[in-house]
Amino acid sequence: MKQNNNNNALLLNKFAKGKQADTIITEVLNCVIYTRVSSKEQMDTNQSLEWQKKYCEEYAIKNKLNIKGCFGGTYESAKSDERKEFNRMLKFVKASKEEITYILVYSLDRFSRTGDSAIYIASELKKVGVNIMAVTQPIDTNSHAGALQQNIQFIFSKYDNDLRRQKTIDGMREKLLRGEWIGVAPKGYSYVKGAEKQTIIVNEQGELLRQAFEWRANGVTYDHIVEKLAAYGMKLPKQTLTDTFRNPFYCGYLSHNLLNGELAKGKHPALISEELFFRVNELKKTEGFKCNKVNDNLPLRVFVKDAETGVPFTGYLVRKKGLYYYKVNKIGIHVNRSVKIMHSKFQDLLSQYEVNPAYLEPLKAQLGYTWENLTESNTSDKKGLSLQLHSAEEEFKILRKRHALGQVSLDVYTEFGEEMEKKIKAISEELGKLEQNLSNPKELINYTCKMACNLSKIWDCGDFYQKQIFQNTIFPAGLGYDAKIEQYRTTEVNCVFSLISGLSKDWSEIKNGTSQNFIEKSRLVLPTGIEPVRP
Amino acid sequence: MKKHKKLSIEELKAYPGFENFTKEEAEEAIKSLESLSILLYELFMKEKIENVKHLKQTEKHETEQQQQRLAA
Repeated sequence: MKQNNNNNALLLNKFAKGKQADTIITEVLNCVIYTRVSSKEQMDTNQSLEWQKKYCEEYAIKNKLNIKGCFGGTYESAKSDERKEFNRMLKFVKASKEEITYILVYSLDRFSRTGDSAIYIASELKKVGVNIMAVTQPIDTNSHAGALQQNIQFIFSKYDNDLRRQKTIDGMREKLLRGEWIGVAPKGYSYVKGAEKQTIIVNEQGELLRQAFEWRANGVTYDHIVEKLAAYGMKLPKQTLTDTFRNPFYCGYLSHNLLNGELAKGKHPALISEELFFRVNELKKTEGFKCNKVNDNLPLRVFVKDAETGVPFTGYLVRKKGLYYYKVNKIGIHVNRSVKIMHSKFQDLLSQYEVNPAYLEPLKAQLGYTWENLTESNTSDKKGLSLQLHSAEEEFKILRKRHALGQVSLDVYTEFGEEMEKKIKAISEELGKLEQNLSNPKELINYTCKMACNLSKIWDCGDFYQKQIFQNTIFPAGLGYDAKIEQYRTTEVNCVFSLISGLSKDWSEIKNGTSQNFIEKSRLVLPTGIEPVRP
Repeated sequence: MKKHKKLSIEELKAYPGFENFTKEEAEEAIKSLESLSILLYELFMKEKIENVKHLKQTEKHETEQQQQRLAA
């Protein structure tokens, strides 16, 4: 009878609802271990990773857990869950054929410091039967209280991280306000290693950058500066050069996101004066112009626009004829003009702004100053280039010697030899230019007197860069070209040229006895508007 | 630190035709004169280098011819 009752109770139990309470686990459960530190320095200097692993292993042995894998063992910041080793572990746990029950970590902040995101990952893992076990904070997450406790710990880990982050940011900001730089020193500067206090000095590249600022302030184009620096052995992309020129660090100030839009006076030595910094950036703002790919045959490309539509002219080569043409590259506009016509018309336009020798005086005075500026900088340029040339020649000599001794194969010798020869040639050419020093500016002034009376010749003699500077100086807003009447239209003419041109005309009128007040007239010349300039 | 030299506003205004320039106009004019002067300097140097190169080539050519004549 008793036997029957027991059988019935067992059979009836099959119809009971709800989850059965956990029974005592007798089988061996599987686990994985995850360890991490935050930074490379921590990984290199302390033993934390080994400690974490040791604690986890001891816990596994004590609780008879079978370790199926160890993950991490490297530096991964837990402020994000996009971690290589962390994701590898999650993937392994989810895909493992042998069911993984525990992820062992030293403490919960080793697992994650993302707060809500960590809670989500933990709940997703729980759904597939995986529990996170912090061996130094063991919690039974199968109970509601345990799960709550674990979630609170995840939130606290994030809170702790946020507090530490804020402390670090405040510290960094304080440091910046004290005039000390944080992070890598900007190009041209180096830290003095082993110094008690932060010490930043100007290095060799800094001297070159100082020159680059001078060049830019003197109107040298970005492309040209990049080329010049390359000749000195300093490879700098154009974008980096632009950023460099905009960085007030070089005139002694610190600019950083942490300073909330303010500047701080730095303790480092200024590479350039504030005045030079302003000149470089002022130039960028007011005299900057678009400079397209270098093509000596098409100096007016982009600079000239179609007068009706404002679309810039582009250029192309007709290979069969070997002739270049300018064209407006837009559907519906059919304007093609040969380079010969466009250039000849442009030179005609320039001739209207030629300088009367009587008004060369201020230009001569400025030439004197420019001569002083540029010859002074030439001296330091020469020193630097001579050193560069010497070292390049020495390198080439060594290469030749090694090739002669059979230590360097012909292929290698040809490849590097050509490269070195090019470098030596470039430096020699640059040095050659500088060696043509003048004893005094008289020669230059005489030359100017001849040339300034012939602006079209100046333009014609220049290379691509010089043409760009020249045409943008006289016509800062570019030019329009009216294809119907085959004439250029000026929107803005540089005031000096307008004035000089106006004065020159007035001079001839004085001579002919038809003069009006030339100052009044010269004022009228300044804004020429969108009309063809009348000679 | 090396000082960059250029015309001052007063200097410019001392030249005939520029007396009535305002400060802004004078600054603009000085910038333009500076730009033009640099350009002229560069062109002058370029021409000078070309002349020296040409001179050296001519000298070299003449020396070669002389040597050939002597050899003959």
